[in-house]
Amino acid sequence: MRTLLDTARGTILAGLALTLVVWMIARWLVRMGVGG
Amino acid sequence: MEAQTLDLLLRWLHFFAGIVWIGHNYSTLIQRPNYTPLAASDLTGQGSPRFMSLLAREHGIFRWASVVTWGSGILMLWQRGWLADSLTLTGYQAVIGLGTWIGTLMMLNVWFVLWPHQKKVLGFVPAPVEERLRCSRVTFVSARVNTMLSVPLLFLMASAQHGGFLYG
Repeated sequence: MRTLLDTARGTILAGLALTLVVWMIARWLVRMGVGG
Repeated sequence: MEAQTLDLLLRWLHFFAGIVWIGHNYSTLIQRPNYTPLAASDLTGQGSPRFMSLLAREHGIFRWASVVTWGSGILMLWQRGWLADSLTLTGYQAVIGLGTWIGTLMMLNVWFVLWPHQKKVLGFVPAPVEERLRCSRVTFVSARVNTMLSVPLLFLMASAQHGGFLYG
């Protein structure tokens, strides 16, 4: 099965998309004080 | 040693080992950008050029660099007293904490997914040729997952120190 990770471009695009998601999660954690 | 000096040395070690580790990963991405499946003849042919090239590239440097990178990162957080808050994603330490968890996943991926499968591909652990071919796909995806994860990890490392305005 081919995936986005089969090309270098797809891998970097996936990394950038994931960065956006991770940033939103981090912002939510900091603002909500989860775990604190 | 003063805490400040220790912090600087650990940070230097963290950068250096991280570049050795992820540098290997990025080098593969640039040199072989697209997935090309191995064929059975690549693994069974005497002195197959593709197999010989796989074998020549195999060494433990990047695997051990992953341990040094991870260990120096953990020590840096510990000596600042930030480790518990990072791992529990507490307060502002959630930013570097997410990075810590991603980095931990990456190191575990190297040691417990990529390496055991790579040992079969290279014949260090005996396996039927079909199994070795299946493992070669796993090693490819495993390495690419780490490439992908390195992008948000670097962002978290940078923004934990210099991007407070992003999380306010």
